[in-house]
Amino acid sequence: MLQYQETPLDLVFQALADQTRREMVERLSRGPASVSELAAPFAMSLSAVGQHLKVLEASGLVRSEKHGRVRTCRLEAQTMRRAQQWISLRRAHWEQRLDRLGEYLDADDSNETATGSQP
Amino acid sequence: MTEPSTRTVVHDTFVIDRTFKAPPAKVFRAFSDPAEKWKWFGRPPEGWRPEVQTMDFRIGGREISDGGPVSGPTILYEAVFHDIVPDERIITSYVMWVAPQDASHPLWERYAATGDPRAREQLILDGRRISVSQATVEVLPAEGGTRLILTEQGAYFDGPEAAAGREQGFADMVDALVRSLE
Repeated sequence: MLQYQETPLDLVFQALADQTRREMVERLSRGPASVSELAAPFAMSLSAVGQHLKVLEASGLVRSEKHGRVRTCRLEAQTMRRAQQWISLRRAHWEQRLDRLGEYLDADDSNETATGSQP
Repeated sequence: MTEPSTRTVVHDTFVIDRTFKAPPAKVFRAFSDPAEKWKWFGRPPEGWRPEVQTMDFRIGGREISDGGPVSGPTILYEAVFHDIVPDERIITSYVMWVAPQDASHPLWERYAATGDPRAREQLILDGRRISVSQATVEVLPAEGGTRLILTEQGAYFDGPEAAAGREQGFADMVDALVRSLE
């Protein structure tokens, strides 16, 4: 079975460990929003919202883009999932290949250990 | 609200650390000698096609390794060797593409049979660039053998075809690839 890469998922869990950020993600699950739209339900400064947004962006869950003076945020969960699948695939591929390298080296070793050479 | 660009990139690093009983020079040769590398690297997993591979093992040289599941998409891989320290280290950067053709598609069949670079170009044109990565293979002497550390640092792309409706097709391709390894 495939294992998802730990680091980004850790960041995702960290991001979602906070109630405010969960609510922001919930809001974005209904569609893109500007930072001020995102901040509206919360009794906190825009810069505090910006800090939460930074954590969400670092996790890959949310992406924001500035158009003129408006920063628009959107959810990227699908992207994250797909990229994770591809990364997992790359890793699984390498694990399998290195299994075969081990078999190849072992098979070859039986012919050569007779020389008794050890590193 | 108008959707901003759907292009995204995710960065990731993974490390695989293995120890083998063979001495470092032998492990290094398994990566550097095309005939030796073919014996393990070229053996596809069950359900995958034999790969089309070429390797020019020198700094600036290229390696191609193309294949994929028999009944799934084609995966194309092209690397450049940037750093080679005999018996110690190999660093490559590489690009990967995924193309929709399966093993029985005439274009793949032609490419697999002849290695025709124009067939490969067409597969790349029909496909999608999915990642650009740097891979470091470190070969270190270890107690009773060799420690091999593989580090992959990648930029993984997503999204540019979403508007054209190709996104789902791509997701399906990745799903098929993941299933083929389970």
